[in-house]
Amino acid sequence: MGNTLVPSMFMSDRTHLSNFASHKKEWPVYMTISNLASKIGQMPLTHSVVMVALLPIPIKNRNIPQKRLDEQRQTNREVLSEVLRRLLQPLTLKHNPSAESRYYNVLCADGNFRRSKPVLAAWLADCPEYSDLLHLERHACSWCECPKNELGDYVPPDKQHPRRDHNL
Amino acid sequence: MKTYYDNVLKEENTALRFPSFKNGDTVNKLVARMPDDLALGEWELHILEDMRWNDDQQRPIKYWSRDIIKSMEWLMRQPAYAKHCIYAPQRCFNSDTPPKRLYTEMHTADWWWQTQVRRDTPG
Repeated sequence: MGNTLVPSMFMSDRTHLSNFASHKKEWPVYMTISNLASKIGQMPLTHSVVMVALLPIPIKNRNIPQKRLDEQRQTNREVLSEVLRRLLQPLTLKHNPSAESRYYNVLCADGNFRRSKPVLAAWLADCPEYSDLLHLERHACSWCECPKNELGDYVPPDKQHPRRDHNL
Repeated sequence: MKTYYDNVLKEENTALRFPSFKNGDTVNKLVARMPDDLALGEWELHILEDMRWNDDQQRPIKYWSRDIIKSMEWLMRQPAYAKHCIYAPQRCFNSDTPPKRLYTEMHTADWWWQTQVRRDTPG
Protein backbone atom coordinates (compact mmCIF):
# COMPACT_ATOMS: atom_id res chain seq x y z
CA MET A 1 0.00 0.00 0.00
CA GLY A 2 1.35 3.36 -0.97
CA ASN A 3 0.39 6.93 -0.61
CA THR A 4 -0.85 9.18 -3.31
CA LEU A 5 -2.07 12.69 -3.74
CA VAL A 6 -5.37 13.16 -5.53
CA PRO A 7 -5.49 16.66 -6.98
CA SER A 8 -9.12 17.38 -7.75
CA MET A 9 -9.97 19.71 -10.58
CA PHE A 10 -13.31 21.45 -10.68
CA MET A 11 -15.01 23.18 -13.57
CA SER A 12 -18.05 25.38 -13.50
CA ASP A 13 -19.96 27.57 -15.89
CA ARG A 14 -23.37 29.12 -15.98
CA THR A 15 -25.40 27.57 -18.77
CA HIS A 16 -28.25 29.33 -20.48
CA LEU A 17 -31.06 26.87 -21.11
CA SER A 18 -34.08 28.61 -22.56
CA ASN A 19 -34.96 32.00 -23.94
CA PHE A 20 -38.67 32.40 -23.27
CA ALA A 21 -39.60 29.91 -20.57
CA SER A 22 -38.55 32.29 -17.79
CA HIS A 23 -34.92 32.31 -19.01
CA LYS A 24 -33.92 29.16 -17.24
CA LYS A 25 -30.31 28.75 -16.25
CA GLU A 26 -28.26 26.00 -14.69
CA TRP A 27 -24.98 26.32 -12.88
CA PRO A 28 -23.27 22.93 -12.93
CA VAL A 29 -19.98 22.07 -11.27
CA TYR A 30 -17.91 19.27 -12.77
CA MET A 31 -15.09 17.38 -11.18
CA THR A 32 -12.19 15.27 -12.38
CA ILE A 33 -8.92 14.13 -10.86
CA SER A 34 -5.50 15.03 -12.17
CA ASN A 35 -4.15 11.53 -11.65
CA LEU A 36 -5.60 10.72 -15.04
CA ALA A 37 -3.50 11.78 -17.99
CA SER A 38 -4.79 14.89 -19.66
CA LYS A 39 -5.45 13.03 -22.91
CA ILE A 40 -8.03 10.95 -21.03
CA GLY A 41 -9.66 14.03 -19.59
CA GLN A 42 -9.90 15.61 -23.01
CA MET A 43 -11.89 12.72 -24.49
CA PRO A 44 -15.59 13.06 -23.64
CA LEU A 45 -16.33 9.39 -24.22
CA THR A 46 -14.00 8.28 -21.44
CA HIS A 47 -16.47 9.82 -18.95
CA SER A 48 -13.69 11.02 -16.70
CA VAL A 49 -15.51 14.22 -15.76
CA VAL A 50 -18.29 13.87 -13.23
CA MET A 51 -20.98 16.38 -12.49
CA VAL A 52 -21.02 16.91 -8.74
CA ALA A 53 -23.34 19.83 -8.08
CA LEU A 54 -25.93 22.23 -9.40
CA LEU A 55 -25.49 25.58 -7.70
CA PRO A 56 -28.48 27.78 -6.92
CA ILE A 57 -29.14 30.58 -9.40
CA PRO A 58 -29.74 33.97 -7.76
CA ILE A 59 -32.99 35.74 -8.54
CA LYS A 60 -32.86 38.35 -11.25
CA ASN A 61 -31.61 41.79 -10.41
CA ARG A 62 -34.18 43.61 -12.50
CA ASN A 63 -36.93 42.72 -10.02
CA ILE A 64 -35.09 44.54 -7.28
CA PRO A 65 -35.15 48.27 -6.55
CA GLN A 66 -31.94 50.11 -7.24
CA LYS A 67 -31.29 51.04 -3.63
CA ARG A 68 -31.43 47.43 -2.47
CA LEU A 69 -29.14 46.15 -5.21
CA ASP A 70 -25.94 46.23 -3.17
CA GLU A 71 -27.65 44.43 -0.32
CA GLN A 72 -28.96 41.78 -2.72
CA ARG A 73 -25.52 41.25 -4.24
CA GLN A 74 -24.06 40.79 -0.78
CA THR A 75 -26.70 38.13 -0.05
CA ASN A 76 -25.94 36.35 -3.32
CA ARG A 77 -22.25 36.28 -2.45
CA GLU A 78 -22.96 34.85 0.99
CA VAL A 79 -25.21 32.13 -0.42
CA LEU A 80 -22.63 31.12 -3.04
CA SER A 81 -19.86 30.98 -0.43
CA GLU A 82 -21.99 28.89 1.88
CA VAL A 83 -22.92 26.42 -0.87
CA LEU A 84 -19.34 26.06 -2.07
CA ARG A 85 -18.12 25.63 1.48
CA ARG A 86 -20.60 22.83 2.08
CA LEU A 87 -19.80 21.19 -1.25
CA LEU A 88 -16.03 21.28 -0.79
CA GLN A 89 -16.10 20.54 2.91
CA PRO A 90 -13.77 17.50 2.74
CA LEU A 91 -11.16 19.56 0.91
CA THR A 92 -11.15 22.91 2.63
CA LEU A 93 -8.65 23.29 5.42
CA LYS A 94 -9.42 26.72 6.75
CA HIS A 95 -12.90 26.02 8.10
CA ASN A 96 -12.38 22.32 8.61
CA PRO A 97 -8.99 21.70 10.28
CA SER A 98 -9.68 17.98 10.73
CA ALA A 99 -9.47 17.58 6.95
CA GLU A 100 -5.73 18.29 7.09
CA SER A 101 -4.96 14.90 8.67
CA ARG A 102 -7.77 13.00 6.94
CA TYR A 103 -6.75 10.23 4.56
CA TYR A 104 -8.91 7.88 2.55
CA ASN A 105 -8.14 4.28 1.67
CA VAL A 106 -9.06 4.14 -1.98
CA LEU A 107 -9.07 1.15 -4.31
CA CYS A 108 -7.02 2.18 -7.32
CA ALA A 109 -7.36 1.02 -10.90
CA ASP A 110 -4.39 -1.35 -10.67
CA GLY A 111 -6.06 -3.32 -7.86
CA ASN A 112 -4.09 -1.91 -4.94
CA PHE A 113 -5.35 0.18 -2.08
CA ARG A 114 -3.63 3.50 -1.61
CA ARG A 115 -3.80 6.01 1.19
CA SER A 116 -5.13 9.02 -0.69
CA LYS A 117 -5.15 12.65 0.17
CA PRO A 118 -7.62 14.66 -1.90
CA VAL A 119 -6.53 18.23 -2.56
CA LEU A 120 -8.34 21.04 -4.29
CA ALA A 121 -5.87 21.73 -7.08
CA ALA A 122 -7.54 23.78 -9.78
CA TRP A 123 -10.78 25.43 -10.70
CA LEU A 124 -11.28 25.88 -14.43
CA ALA A 125 -13.64 28.60 -15.51
CA ASP A 126 -13.85 31.50 -17.91
CA CYS A 127 -13.32 35.13 -16.96
CA PRO A 128 -16.92 36.12 -16.06
CA GLU A 129 -17.28 32.90 -14.13
CA TYR A 130 -14.16 33.65 -12.11
CA SER A 131 -15.48 37.07 -11.26
CA ASP A 132 -18.73 35.46 -10.10
CA LEU A 133 -16.99 32.83 -8.02
CA LEU A 134 -14.45 35.14 -6.45
CA HIS A 135 -16.91 38.04 -6.05
CA LEU A 136 -14.93 40.43 -8.22
CA GLU A 137 -16.17 43.11 -10.52
CA ARG A 138 -16.26 42.28 -14.20
CA HIS A 139 -13.01 42.06 -16.19
CA ALA A 140 -10.87 42.17 -13.07
CA CYS A 141 -7.84 39.92 -12.81
CA SER A 142 -8.67 36.82 -10.80
CA TRP A 143 -5.04 36.06 -10.03
CA CYS A 144 -3.60 39.25 -8.55
CA GLU A 145 -4.85 42.60 -7.35
CA CYS A 146 -3.91 44.40 -10.53
CA PRO A 147 -5.99 47.52 -11.23
CA LYS A 148 -8.13 47.34 -14.33
CA ASN A 149 -6.31 50.06 -16.27
CA GLU A 150 -2.95 48.36 -15.75
CA LEU A 151 -4.00 44.97 -17.15
CA GLY A 152 -1.46 43.74 -19.67
CA ASP A 153 1.28 46.15 -18.62
CA TYR A 154 4.76 44.87 -17.91
CA VAL A 155 5.47 44.55 -14.19
CA PRO A 156 9.02 43.95 -12.98
CA PRO A 157 9.32 40.78 -10.88
CA ASP A 158 10.04 42.67 -7.67
CA LYS A 159 6.97 44.89 -8.00
CA GLN A 160 4.31 42.24 -8.58
CA HIS A 161 0.82 42.95 -7.41
CA PRO A 162 -0.21 40.97 -4.33
CA ARG A 163 -1.91 37.64 -5.04
CA ARG A 164 -5.55 37.18 -4.22
CA ASP A 165 -6.47 34.82 -1.41
CA HIS A 166 -8.48 31.97 -2.93
CA ASN A 167 -9.10 30.06 0.30
CA LEU A 168 -12.69 29.25 0.97
CA MET B 1 -39.38 -20.33 -23.82
CA LYS B 2 -36.39 -18.69 -25.40
CA THR B 3 -36.34 -14.95 -25.83
CA TYR B 4 -34.18 -12.57 -27.79
CA TYR B 5 -32.08 -11.76 -24.73
CA ASP B 6 -31.32 -15.40 -24.10
CA ASN B 7 -29.95 -15.78 -27.61
CA VAL B 8 -27.85 -12.60 -27.36
CA LEU B 9 -26.36 -13.51 -24.01
CA LYS B 10 -25.55 -17.00 -25.20
CA GLU B 11 -23.84 -15.78 -28.33
CA GLU B 12 -21.78 -13.10 -26.60
CA ASN B 13 -20.69 -15.10 -23.57
CA THR B 14 -20.31 -18.80 -24.13
CA ALA B 15 -18.49 -19.41 -20.86
CA LEU B 16 -20.96 -17.60 -18.59
CA ARG B 17 -24.34 -18.93 -17.58
CA PHE B 18 -27.12 -16.38 -17.36
CA PRO B 19 -30.59 -16.97 -16.00
CA SER B 20 -33.36 -17.07 -18.54
CA PHE B 21 -35.07 -13.72 -18.91
CA LYS B 22 -38.77 -13.42 -19.45
CA ASN B 23 -38.61 -10.18 -21.37
CA GLY B 24 -36.46 -7.13 -21.98
CA ASP B 25 -37.92 -5.29 -19.03
CA THR B 26 -36.40 -7.79 -16.62
CA VAL B 27 -32.98 -7.14 -18.12
CA ASN B 28 -33.45 -3.40 -17.83
CA LYS B 29 -34.43 -3.75 -14.20
CA LEU B 30 -31.33 -5.81 -13.50
CA VAL B 31 -29.15 -3.22 -15.25
CA ALA B 32 -30.76 -0.46 -13.23
CA ARG B 33 -29.91 -2.27 -10.02
CA MET B 34 -26.20 -2.38 -10.88
CA PRO B 35 -24.22 -0.64 -8.14
CA ASP B 36 -22.08 1.52 -10.41
CA ASP B 37 -24.44 4.46 -10.57
CA LEU B 38 -25.00 4.42 -6.85
CA ALA B 39 -21.28 4.19 -6.25
CA LEU B 40 -20.85 7.62 -7.76
CA GLY B 41 -22.84 9.04 -4.90
CA GLU B 42 -26.53 9.70 -5.14
CA TRP B 43 -27.83 13.14 -5.93
CA GLU B 44 -28.86 14.83 -2.73
CA LEU B 45 -31.09 17.84 -2.40
CA HIS B 46 -29.66 20.28 0.09
CA ILE B 47 -31.73 23.06 1.56
CA LEU B 48 -30.20 26.11 3.18
CA GLU B 49 -32.73 26.50 5.95
CA ASP B 50 -31.55 29.76 7.45
CA MET B 51 -30.90 31.65 4.21
CA ARG B 52 -33.28 33.48 1.88
CA TRP B 53 -32.57 35.41 -1.31
CA ASN B 54 -34.37 38.41 0.18
CA ASP B 55 -37.33 39.26 2.39
CA ASP B 56 -39.89 38.92 -0.41
CA GLN B 57 -38.84 35.36 -1.21
CA GLN B 58 -39.88 33.04 1.57
CA ARG B 59 -38.85 29.84 -0.18
CA PRO B 60 -35.63 28.30 1.14
CA ILE B 61 -32.63 28.07 -1.15
CA LYS B 62 -32.06 24.62 -2.61
CA TYR B 63 -29.22 23.05 -4.51
CA TRP B 64 -28.28 19.58 -5.70
CA SER B 65 -24.97 17.92 -5.08
CA ARG B 66 -23.31 14.57 -4.67
CA ASP B 67 -20.48 13.38 -2.45
CA ILE B 68 -17.17 14.46 -3.98
CA ILE B 69 -15.22 11.84 -2.02
CA LYS B 70 -17.37 9.07 -3.52
CA SER B 71 -16.88 10.58 -6.96
CA MET B 72 -13.14 10.64 -6.39
CA GLU B 73 -13.15 6.98 -5.34
CA TRP B 74 -15.22 6.06 -8.38
CA LEU B 75 -12.78 7.83 -10.70
CA MET B 76 -9.79 6.22 -9.01
CA ARG B 77 -11.00 2.64 -9.32
CA GLN B 78 -12.15 2.64 -12.94
CA PRO B 79 -10.22 -0.15 -14.69
CA ALA B 80 -10.49 1.70 -18.00
CA TYR B 81 -8.08 4.38 -16.76
CA ALA B 82 -5.56 1.92 -15.30
CA LYS B 83 -2.88 2.54 -17.93
CA HIS B 84 -3.14 6.32 -17.61
CA CYS B 85 -3.30 6.69 -13.84
CA ILE B 86 -0.46 8.39 -12.01
CA TYR B 87 0.14 8.02 -8.31
CA ALA B 88 3.47 9.78 -7.82
CA PRO B 89 5.19 12.85 -9.23
CA GLN B 90 8.00 12.53 -11.74
CA ARG B 91 10.85 14.72 -12.86
CA CYS B 92 11.35 14.34 -16.60
CA PHE B 93 14.52 15.32 -18.43
CA ASN B 94 15.39 15.32 -22.09
CA SER B 95 18.51 13.80 -23.61
CA ASP B 96 20.55 17.01 -23.91
CA THR B 97 23.81 17.49 -22.04
CA PRO B 98 23.29 18.97 -19.52
CA PRO B 99 19.72 17.60 -19.38
CA LYS B 100 16.86 20.06 -19.41
CA ARG B 101 13.75 19.70 -17.37
CA LEU B 102 10.59 18.80 -19.30
CA TYR B 103 7.21 20.03 -18.12
CA THR B 104 4.21 18.38 -19.75
CA GLU B 105 1.58 16.83 -17.51
CA MET B 106 0.63 17.95 -14.04
CA HIS B 107 2.74 15.30 -12.33
CA THR B 108 5.92 16.49 -14.05
CA ALA B 109 5.72 19.94 -12.49
CA ASP B 110 6.97 21.03 -9.10
CA TRP B 111 3.69 21.51 -7.24
CA TRP B 112 2.83 17.82 -6.98
CA TRP B 113 6.37 16.94 -5.92
CA GLN B 114 6.42 19.54 -3.18
CA THR B 115 2.96 18.67 -1.88
CA GLN B 116 3.20 14.89 -1.87
CA VAL B 117 6.74 14.64 -0.57
CA ARG B 118 5.98 17.16 2.13
CA ARG B 119 2.84 15.30 3.21
CA ASP B 120 4.44 11.85 3.11
CA THR B 121 7.34 12.67 5.37
CA PRO B 122 6.25 13.03 9.00
CA GLY B 123 6.90 16.36 10.62
